[in-house]
Amino acid sequence: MPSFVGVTKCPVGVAHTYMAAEKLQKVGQSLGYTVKIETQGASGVEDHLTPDDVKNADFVIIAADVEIDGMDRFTDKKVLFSTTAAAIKDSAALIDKAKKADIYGGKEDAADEKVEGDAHEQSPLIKQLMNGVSHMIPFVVVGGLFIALSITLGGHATKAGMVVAPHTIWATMNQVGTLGFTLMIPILAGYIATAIAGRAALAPAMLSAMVANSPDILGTKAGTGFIGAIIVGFAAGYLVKWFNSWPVPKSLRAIMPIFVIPLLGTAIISGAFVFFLGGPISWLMTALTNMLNVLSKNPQTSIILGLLLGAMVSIDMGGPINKVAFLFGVASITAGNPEIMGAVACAIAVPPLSAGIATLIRSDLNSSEETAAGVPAILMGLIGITEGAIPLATANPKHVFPGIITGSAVAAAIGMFFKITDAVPHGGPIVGVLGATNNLLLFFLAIIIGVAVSAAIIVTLKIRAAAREEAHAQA
Amino acid sequence: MKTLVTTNIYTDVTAPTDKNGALGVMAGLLAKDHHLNEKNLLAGFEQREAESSTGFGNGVAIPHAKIDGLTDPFVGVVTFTQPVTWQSLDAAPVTIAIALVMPADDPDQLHLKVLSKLARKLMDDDFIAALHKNQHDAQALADVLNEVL
Repeated sequence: MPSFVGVTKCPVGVAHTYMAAEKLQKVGQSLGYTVKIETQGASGVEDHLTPDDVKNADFVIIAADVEIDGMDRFTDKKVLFSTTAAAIKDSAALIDKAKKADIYGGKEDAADEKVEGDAHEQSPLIKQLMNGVSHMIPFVVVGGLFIALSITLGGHATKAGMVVAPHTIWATMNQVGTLGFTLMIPILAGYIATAIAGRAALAPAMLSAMVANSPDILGTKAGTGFIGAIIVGFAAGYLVKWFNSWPVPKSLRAIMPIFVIPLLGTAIISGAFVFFLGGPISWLMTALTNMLNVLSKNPQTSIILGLLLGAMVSIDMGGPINKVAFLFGVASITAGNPEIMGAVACAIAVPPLSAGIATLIRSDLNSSEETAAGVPAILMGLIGITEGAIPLATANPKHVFPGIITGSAVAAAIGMFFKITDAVPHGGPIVGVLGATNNLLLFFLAIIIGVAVSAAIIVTLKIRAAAREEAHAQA
Repeated sequence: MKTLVTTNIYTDVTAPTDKNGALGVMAGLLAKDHHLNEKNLLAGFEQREAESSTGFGNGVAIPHAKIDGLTDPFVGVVTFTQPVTWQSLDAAPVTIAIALVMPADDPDQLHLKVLSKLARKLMDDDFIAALHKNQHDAQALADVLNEVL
């Protein structure tokens, strides 16, 4: 159903504000739109437009005779500026014009805008992060479920990992799913950046996120994963926001967002990753591998090794640290001692399974993102796709990370303790079901305990935070 | 029924057919009822009209004013025997004027809520038709308005 939102405001704030709102509402509804109009009148703001209202609207109509409050909410939306009189006289014409209205690019100097002191409003950083997460979730869901389904139905456990037979429908499905996972990185970065600085930030953020996730460009063994994407998103967003504050001659203004800013932004952010971060990432990966080597030499530290491997798997879920742990496990298969892969395989399933299960407990505390990503995360967890937890961890890092890191560490340590082996470089319950582990029951036990620990921590933290918020609201 | 906002209704008033003249007559009638300074009230109306015309079409206008020191807001309805030129949105002359008079600094949000409800109602074609139908009958007009106020 098409929809639009609007704001009305007149000088006295008693009559025209409401007449214009009513007219837009009536005419809009008769034309088949879902309509919500915020009135900024003498008695204050009524029918306050929430971020969701604005997000879901196809366009925005400002019918005001004086400047309205909170214009920044409509950055990057189609916005038609008009008067209360025009709305009262002919709302149908306004709606028609608004469909083709220009995109509102924000104020010249957004820093000058007053920040509303509403305690319930999220901080801008969280809002920007969530803009990225909400755009990313569909990619994770499609990518993860396609990969999971193709592995379940068409995969074979081999020494090279879970291999889907080529030239089958499952192989195609797997490739499509992989594209979804590839795209989620630039989408996350791009939409964090646009939430900060508008459209001009999209290209630098998306391109740089791809650079940060391309090991061959970075000169490392692994890309920086979703954490790199978040860093790129914020860096590109605030860099472009700063560009936007430059005093630019009028003749150049039109080409700034389509030419100058994307070029400069991409060059600076991508360059910084390649020249300044490629080296440290490689160094970090080597250092971690050396540390694991030392620990694995001594059987007395095997539990510590397990804890460490588990924590590494979940700390960046597909990033360089996860990669080190995973490759270390794979190396143990080649060396004929697949106990380390066994421990890693226990940990791999814990983040998506536990974060997903946590959304089903006290689901009244969920955000819409958590509800959307919860069940897909559980399905991905069963197939050993750690990335399924990324949307949940990004949406709620303060509660999810302590849980999944602890839970994964516990699961891997138990795996080490029971000397569970896994001959396939893949993780999660599926490798057990396919017979790649030496003891299915103990393998499952390790996963279940890890998941229980993680989910308990996540839910406890979430409930405590909700209780604190409530106490705060009542005070 | 006790209403939140008092209503004074004058039907079939003979007034000049220009907006300022008509506003002057309205200010005179309403100021007397509420012991207000007629000149202040007229100045309030004129100030608002200078920003933009309150004639929103369909032969109805809603002049309004904020008055310093007023304690209770009120609604005054005047219907004219001769249509008044009001520079309305649809250019049609006005036969019904609904005046909204409010304190300059009203601590009571309830009044504003009531007035905003009335303003929304003015966008309802049936409501406007009811006003026109009863524009010679003060009691009937009061009933129509009191349903809202």
